[in-house]
Amino acid sequence: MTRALCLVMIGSLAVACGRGPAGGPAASNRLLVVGYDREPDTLNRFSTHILEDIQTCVIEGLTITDDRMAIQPLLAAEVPTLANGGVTLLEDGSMDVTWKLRPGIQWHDGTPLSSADVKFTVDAINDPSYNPESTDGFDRISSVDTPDALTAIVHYREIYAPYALQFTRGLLPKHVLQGRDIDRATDYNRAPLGTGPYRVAEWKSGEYIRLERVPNYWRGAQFPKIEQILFRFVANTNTRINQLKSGEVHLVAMFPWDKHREVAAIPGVSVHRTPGNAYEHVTLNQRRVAAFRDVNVRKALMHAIDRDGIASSILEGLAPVTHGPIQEVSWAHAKDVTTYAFDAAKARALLEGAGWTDANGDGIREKDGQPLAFTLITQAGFAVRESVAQVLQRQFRDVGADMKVQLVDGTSISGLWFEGNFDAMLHWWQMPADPELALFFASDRVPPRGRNINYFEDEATTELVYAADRTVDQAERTRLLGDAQRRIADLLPELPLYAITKLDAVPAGLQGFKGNPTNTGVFWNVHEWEFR
Amino acid sequence: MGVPLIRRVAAALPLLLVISAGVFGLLHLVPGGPLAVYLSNPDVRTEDLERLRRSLGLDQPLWRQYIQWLAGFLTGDWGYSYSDGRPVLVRVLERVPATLELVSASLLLAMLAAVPLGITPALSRNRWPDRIASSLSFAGLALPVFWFGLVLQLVFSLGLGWLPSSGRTTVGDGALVDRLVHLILPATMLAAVHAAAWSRYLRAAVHDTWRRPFVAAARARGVGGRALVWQHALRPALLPVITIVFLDAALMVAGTVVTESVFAWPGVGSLFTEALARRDYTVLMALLMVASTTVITLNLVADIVYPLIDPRVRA
Repeated sequence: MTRALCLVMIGSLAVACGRGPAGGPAASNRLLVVGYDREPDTLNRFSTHILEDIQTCVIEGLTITDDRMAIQPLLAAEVPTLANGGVTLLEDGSMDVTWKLRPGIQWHDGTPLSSADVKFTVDAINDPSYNPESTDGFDRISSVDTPDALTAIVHYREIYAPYALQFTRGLLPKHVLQGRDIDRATDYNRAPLGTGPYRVAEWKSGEYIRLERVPNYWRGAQFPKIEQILFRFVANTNTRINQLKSGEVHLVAMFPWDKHREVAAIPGVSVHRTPGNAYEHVTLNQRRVAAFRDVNVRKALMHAIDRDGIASSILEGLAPVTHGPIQEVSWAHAKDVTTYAFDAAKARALLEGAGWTDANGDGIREKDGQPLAFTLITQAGFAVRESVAQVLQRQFRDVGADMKVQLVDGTSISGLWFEGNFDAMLHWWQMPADPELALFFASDRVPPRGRNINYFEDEATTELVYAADRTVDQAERTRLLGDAQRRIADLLPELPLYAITKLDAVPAGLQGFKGNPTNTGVFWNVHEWEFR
Repeated sequence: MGVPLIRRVAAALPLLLVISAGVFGLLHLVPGGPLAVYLSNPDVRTEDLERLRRSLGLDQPLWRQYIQWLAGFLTGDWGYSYSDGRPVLVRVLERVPATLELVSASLLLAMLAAVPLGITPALSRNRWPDRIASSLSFAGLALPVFWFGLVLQLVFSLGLGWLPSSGRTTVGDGALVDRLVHLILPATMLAAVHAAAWSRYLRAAVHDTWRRPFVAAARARGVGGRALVWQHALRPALLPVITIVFLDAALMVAGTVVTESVFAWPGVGSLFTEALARRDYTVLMALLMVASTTVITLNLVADIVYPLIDPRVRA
């Protein structure tokens, strides 16, 4: 029996050895294998917002955000603006947006793309029988007119500033989905009909999704260059990196920072850095912790943090220090805001002045008998964040504030912050491509109405951020958002730490890879990718 | 045999009911919930969350949700997955073959390893073969499974380049050899702990049997060497171990959660991990019920098989 076992083992090993090195085929214009951290739920872009990479290769929107976060026309002939007459503001406060479709585009099944698909998409999303993830913007549309096959006039009941991004997720094909229960339309949701450079050839649950290029892509027969893209689902980060090393996968998007050195050392793989539209910060829950309601306490905590030190040591220079919610990559970023340098003496003086003193000599300041103490929650299993939390704990302690750290799993933490059940939280926001601040800073947008989980209340800020949301003219909007950013930097409702840099592991021979700061993901220009 | 069996099965049903209620309650107690995944998307507003909550039936009182789930489950309607909208039964069934393949291979591997590891030391107690085999067993027991899997990858896939690091097949291949090659590392990882544990039980059992009068009698009749071990000592020694194997087989199914995650194995274990992260209650409930039923069934099977092997219990 033992002998038989040995024979089987040796036999299998011999077979394995005969196959040569374990890696799969090398990355080439014939095949690109992507190591993917999770399996998508559905490929219907309106039903899910996570993992849009695969959808981006198949489904195209009227517009897309490029590597510099500029909005580019895709299926639309141009982006409608006030200047080109595509946007009309009406006297009753409503707004019309006229979309001109690029002529000659067909769905993958050969049916021409038409304005009727735009109208169908709006109607389907506003239909109560379908459950898309978000109806944001669509619920402000009163109707869509289609004077001809290439023109769709979208009537908004009120001014909607991010109108240009309304159809970035694509369009639902009317001729496939009309009259059907879209939530249960498994054929569409697992292999959606699109207009993009690729179509879904195979989806093997738990294993992979295989895309193959379409023969007559509208940009020209020379696009796309790569024949097949295979998305392999590898949930475990270590395994994903190991597959990259063995050559079983060729590309891993957004790998964690603590793997940077390991990945950079892999031969044939280069690390692509993209400044992200996201920022790491400490949220201070003013509803839960009375001390946070005092602006001087918030400023003291900001001065207590050595952000440059964190950026150069733990973050290995990968992420720059930031001073507010809108990052440099955005057109709305304001440079001239108040900043708070690392200065422990100043932090102590501010706390002293605010009435927080250490009367009993235990190293922790008190006021009215209450110690300056709170608990910071952050996501478990996120190595960099755990290290940053420890540094913050030490540096707050140096100025007399006692912070405990509690690690929480990713799904549970969402529940905690949404219900306001925390004192402080270390996390990042992936900001919308359109710089909407109201959701995060307007007084009335505390949960469940929004994401103002600092429970920050300031009338001037609220007015500014709402005014910006109701402004279509970009110059005026930039001014309003600039004022809002300066106001936020002065009042410091949260402690901004650093801007997120996205790290992508890319095969060294791949040309045309540009990265993307937004949720659009790195595959936005996949038709240009090529191995030479 | 028949009547007691029916009685045992009948007793298992209320147990399953209690488990289902307990698990249902526990799942809903875990913070987060199925809507948490939407919260990180700023486009999802309160109105959207309320709409999604209603559409999933989460606005109903918990007891009503449970009754509705139970009624559906018993009539074969396991509901739809919260995350991808497909029927739960489809999602579970498509993952079952991969897990069965992995668990069967691991069971086989663990038994094949446990027998020599258990017998060798028993026959040479406290001499060097015993020490080596015992050390191996203890090492196996002490291994952090997760780490062991990664080490297997590092050595056999990255270092030696002999085996693929993960997955069930090479895309576009899928021949029997390709599948076996993919099976080796995850099956080894899953088998290691159990092989080690079983070999310890076996060692004790063989040693115990070895000193029984019937072995001495056999020896006196001139039976010796291999025949004595295989025909006389092993069979009674295997009896207690077989019960443990059946009970551990259920544990092995639980162990697939970690193994399948490390080796990107497309089975029910990785489905469980995904469903847990999404708080996909309908899928989680189905998987937990299937797992509970499996454990209870394997217990029953152990009870049934035991008298078949051991005539003494049959009376």
